[in-house]
Amino acid sequence: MKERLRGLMLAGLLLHASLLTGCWNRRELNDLAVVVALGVDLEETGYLVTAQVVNPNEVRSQRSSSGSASVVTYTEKGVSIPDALQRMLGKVPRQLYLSHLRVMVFGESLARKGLIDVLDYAAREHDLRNDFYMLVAKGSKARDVLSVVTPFEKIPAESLFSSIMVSNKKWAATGRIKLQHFITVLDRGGSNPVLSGVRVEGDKKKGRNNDFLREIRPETMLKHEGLAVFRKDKLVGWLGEDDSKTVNYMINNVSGTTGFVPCPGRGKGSIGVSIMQSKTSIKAVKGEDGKPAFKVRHVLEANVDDVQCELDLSDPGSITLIEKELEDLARGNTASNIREVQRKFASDIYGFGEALHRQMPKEWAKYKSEWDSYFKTAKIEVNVEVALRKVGSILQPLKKDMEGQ
Amino acid sequence: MNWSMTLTLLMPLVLLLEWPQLKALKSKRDKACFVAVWLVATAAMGAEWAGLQLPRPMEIIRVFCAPINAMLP
Amino acid sequence: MGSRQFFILTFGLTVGTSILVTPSGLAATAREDAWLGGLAGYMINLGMAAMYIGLVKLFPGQNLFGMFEKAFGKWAGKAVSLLYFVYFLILAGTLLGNLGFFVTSEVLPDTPIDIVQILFLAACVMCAKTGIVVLARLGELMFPWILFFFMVLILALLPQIEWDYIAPVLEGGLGPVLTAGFHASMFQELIVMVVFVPQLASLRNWKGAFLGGLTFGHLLLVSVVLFSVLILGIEQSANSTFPAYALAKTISLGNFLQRIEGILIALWIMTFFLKTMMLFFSMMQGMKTILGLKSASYAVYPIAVVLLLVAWNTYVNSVYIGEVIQKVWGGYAMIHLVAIPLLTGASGLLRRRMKILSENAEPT
Repeated sequence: MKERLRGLMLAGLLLHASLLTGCWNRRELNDLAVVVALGVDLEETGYLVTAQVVNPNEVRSQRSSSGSASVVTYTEKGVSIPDALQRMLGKVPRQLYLSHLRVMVFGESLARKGLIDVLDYAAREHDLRNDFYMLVAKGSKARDVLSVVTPFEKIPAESLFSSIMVSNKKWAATGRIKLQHFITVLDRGGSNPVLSGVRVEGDKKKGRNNDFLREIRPETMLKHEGLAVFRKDKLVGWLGEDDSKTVNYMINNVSGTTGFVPCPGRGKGSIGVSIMQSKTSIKAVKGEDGKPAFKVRHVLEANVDDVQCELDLSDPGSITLIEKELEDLARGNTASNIREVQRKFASDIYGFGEALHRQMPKEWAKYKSEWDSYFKTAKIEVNVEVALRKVGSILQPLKKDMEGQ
Repeated sequence: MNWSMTLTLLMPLVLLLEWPQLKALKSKRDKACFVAVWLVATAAMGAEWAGLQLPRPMEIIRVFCAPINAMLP
Repeated sequence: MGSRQFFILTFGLTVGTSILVTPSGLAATAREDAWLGGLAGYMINLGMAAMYIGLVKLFPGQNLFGMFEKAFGKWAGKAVSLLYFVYFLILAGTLLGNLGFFVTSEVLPDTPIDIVQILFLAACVMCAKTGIVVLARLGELMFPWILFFFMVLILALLPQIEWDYIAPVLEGGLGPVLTAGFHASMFQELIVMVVFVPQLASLRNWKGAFLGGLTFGHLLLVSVVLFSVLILGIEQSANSTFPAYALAKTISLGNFLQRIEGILIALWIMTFFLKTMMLFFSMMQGMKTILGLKSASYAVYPIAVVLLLVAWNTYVNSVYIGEVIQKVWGGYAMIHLVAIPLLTGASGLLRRRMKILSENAEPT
């Protein structure tokens, strides 16, 4: 009898336990407003925070007939970000839930002033995780970026998230920076961070509702463009497409991209290649003047994409020729891009300082405090090795066959 | 919820619950020990309920271990 | 108690809460060599374990408190035992506070800390009343799960490793490594196991179980520190309140296995529980030995209440406890983990020598 009583009590206890889990802290799904994107801009009194919240009724997989937007953006001012978010609760019908954030966008003026305070909030807030990307709104406010409706994806933040991944994976002229990465690079002292830029292309006002999406060529689009160079936590400038690719090569953030070389020897036209693999290593050495210098080594694997010359591709010599052209071009390009960044921004975004720290810690200790100014005049040597593997589905260039007739 | 109050008020219940077991043990020493421990616990919780600011344990330890801690790196 | 259970309990005792908290301290002191600091801590703990094994040999059949009475005489020994009782009490209370803080800051932020602590204590009380054998069996039940979650953690984190983060090695020399290791080693209170050696069913391979549990626990700890350095980088490890949790948050395998840190919390709560219960039982055993009681299970409720008070008064806020652990705990722990055992051992050796001498002095 006692056994049965005990058994019953245990069963009762377990039942209670399963029903009460997290009871105190329960957050029912329909009490939450899932924030998918956060935008922070500078404002006289502090910050202007924009939250893009999912409107769940509109994101169902079937067509929604009521035609309202699938997300809602709320904007609010505040002295600090938590302050603004609190005030926003006056407009939002539910509690803001930040754990599913996809993208955080900073206005350019805020980035120029310095991001460190925003980053402190982002790192400290326990609801926010590490898996969202960060962007700088190029030449506009974050609020404008988050107010653009996107084709393809109903939720613009998802569109931004996916397009960051895709463009970085295939094009490598844009960045893919997460909070953790940014803070690590910032704290380290031997490097400066970069952030990817996003621009509103077209009319900002027109992009706000669904109408323009009815056209085949939407007028307003969000475009990822270039990298923003930071010195410490302040934005100091923008990099163009080519420079951005160099940065991505240097920090090993390239999974694939395309490039081209002019035809070797005679004739105009170019040979397009697609880079399949890229690995970069930086070696810190002692220069002739006793100061640290660096040797950069890019190892690339590429395939031929498109041939506009009359080259004989059955001859291994041609391949070697193309490889050599590629190497020279890449070397010159990389070296001049790095020099440009040295001169213009004096900000070590490539991680040379960090390489010095890891390879020659005693030297690093000497230059640590003034690294960026030393970086301005550091001697950097670039070496590129290209290995061409495949040439695509046809062998000889069509131009050659055609001319031959 | 005021836990110090609840727990202080629950202590007599503990006394009642444990008494049969103590009687079965038939040992004066055990009974005395239990009463002593019970008094300490109830007094401490009661003090917390009353809001008396007793010195924190770590502060007492800090004072006692000051010489050793000075030697350590 | 069998030797496998002893192994598991030692393991639980070693890991305890250190798994959540030590990477941060190690990274702050030893920078990229934090993992070396973890290894140094392991060595130091091995040394301490050897000393405890020696103590068991010198005082056969005695638990820790009995040893003090034999080594220092009845009343001085009881005084020392009382000192240890207080040490275990404060330690257990701090552990409770740590658990409360962790759960309420990362998992259930709106819940008052008291509730979490009381719930946990309720489980502890239930276990304490049923006896250590139940705990041992519970340990056996939990252990495969702990192993499983640990494996998941390690394997899921492998793709995120940046080997560069570990360089430069020994940048500051051995000094910071040893300091970090020393500080970390003060948190594995292996001496608690000495209280339970007499309760082992057979003394045949207790040393293997003891050292094995200690080693395995350190394997877990050093891996967590190593991965912290390799994945989070030292800046974030040193600056996080709970680096192991931050580590678990980064797990993302193929865009599918993500956000599983909740499951890993289970691992930590299990080791927490094992350690807290070991301390609880050693307190009860201490009471029994010091006061010559027949049983100590009636004292469970009052002890639990006092533990709660200690938790409320030591874990006042994150900053206070951080400072206390840095400045005060090291010395306090060292007295109990190193100094007094050494004295006990010395006394034991002395008595043995005197005994041998007096035996030799007698005419055959």
